[in-house]
Amino acid sequence: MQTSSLKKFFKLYSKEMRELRPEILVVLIATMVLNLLFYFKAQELPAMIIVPSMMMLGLAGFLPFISSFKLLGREWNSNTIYLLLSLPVKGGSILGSKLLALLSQYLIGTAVVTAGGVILTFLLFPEPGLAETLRQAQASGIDTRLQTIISSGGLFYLMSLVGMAYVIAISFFSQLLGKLVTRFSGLVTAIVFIATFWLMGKLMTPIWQQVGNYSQLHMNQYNFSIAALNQLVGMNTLIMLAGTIIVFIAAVLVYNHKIEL
Amino acid sequence: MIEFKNVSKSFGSTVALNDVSIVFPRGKIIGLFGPNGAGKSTSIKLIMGLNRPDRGEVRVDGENPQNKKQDVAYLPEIDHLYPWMNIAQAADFTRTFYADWDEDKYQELIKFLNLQEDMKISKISKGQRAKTKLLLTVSRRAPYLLMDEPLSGIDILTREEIINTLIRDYREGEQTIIISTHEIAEVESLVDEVIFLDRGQVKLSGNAEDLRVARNMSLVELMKEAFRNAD
Repeated sequence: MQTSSLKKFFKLYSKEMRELRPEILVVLIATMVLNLLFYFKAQELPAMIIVPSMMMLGLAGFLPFISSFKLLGREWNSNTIYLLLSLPVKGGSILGSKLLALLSQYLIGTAVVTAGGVILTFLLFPEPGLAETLRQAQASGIDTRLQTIISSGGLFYLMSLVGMAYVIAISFFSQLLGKLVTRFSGLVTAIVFIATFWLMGKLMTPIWQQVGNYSQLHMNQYNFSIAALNQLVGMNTLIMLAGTIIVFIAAVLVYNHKIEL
Repeated sequence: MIEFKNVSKSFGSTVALNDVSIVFPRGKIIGLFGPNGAGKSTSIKLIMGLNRPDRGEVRVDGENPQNKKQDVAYLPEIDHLYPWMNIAQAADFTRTFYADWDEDKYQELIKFLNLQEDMKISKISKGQRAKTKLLLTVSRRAPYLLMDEPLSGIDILTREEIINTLIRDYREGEQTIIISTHEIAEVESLVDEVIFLDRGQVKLSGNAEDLRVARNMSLVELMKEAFRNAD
């Protein structure tokens, strides 16, 4: 029976998610432990409530990048690259499933940490409550409409997600180039990573500057507009997405045409 | 049919294959023999598309091996399965990618090889891992089966089981099996055609029976003779 390409992709994806299970559990358990610890200690230092969430957000945001080296490098270390390369699928599926799994790890991690932070806040500060907090914020001039919160927050989060995809794509590209040499593979990976990051930065910075100049025409400290800010974040996200796609395609081409055993 | 046309392949300063031209006929069991470093594994990897020739070309049914992975089942010498999987998970993973997976054959073979689906790959013995690799490879009805040193480091009883499995499931005329090994005595009775490789070149090739009759020697003796003359 012929299996669809989508089914093959999701089989690869579920394998990658299984490989990432320990890291996801680490974030989950660490968030619970830290939040519990701060919950019981918060009476002494209520201002410290932000600390566990910030610490865990750093971990949840950084781990997928570290895992990207594990996820690809382990295929060579454990010889499973023989299995991967003999499968009737191209590099797009192999690297795409890994990228999607790492982004899922980022989504799960940040969602767990955010949920933990929100729960901790409401447990420690049941008063004045969500409705009253929003009312106070509105009174001080902050736009608290749900639509605004979702669009701005969502856009910033999307930008962070694309940023994660960007560094993962560079990580894949540099690791694959590192695998092309038999000696000093790690050193080549590190050099290619830094060089690609620098080069892509050089390519994207002028475009970012153009977008920034355009936005300043419509927004300054006296004339702040959520819509203009969203537009700026959205444009920057799109530029970064284009950079991610370029680096990812380069990584797929190296995988398809250069990688050998 | 698999064809090598003037294929050369080097790894740094080591020449693995040097201007080799070979035809692997369809529907036969072909023994790829030679000492360590002869170029056997490289030949197998070139057919599987895991290596690319520096010069010349490799064709599988007239096509680039990269586009024929669907039709080739590959059993490498090293352990290439995910250690955290059990046999059932490894089978499930494999069956997703190949339309030629034969579930009845898999169920039959798992009993024949004395394996259990809940056996975790990282926890089983080397012989059981070799049998698991064989199970996953032979459970496919692939037109081409490539086996790289399938008996290396395996005890005598497991070797027998592996060879019996191959004999039992071989579809003469339909399937081409290429066995790369230096354990010639074990597979002598199995092979139809032989190719002896040495330092990246073909030393001797032909029909196994014809060579035996013409020189009145077993394949093991033939290999000794060929390599003695080479020195």
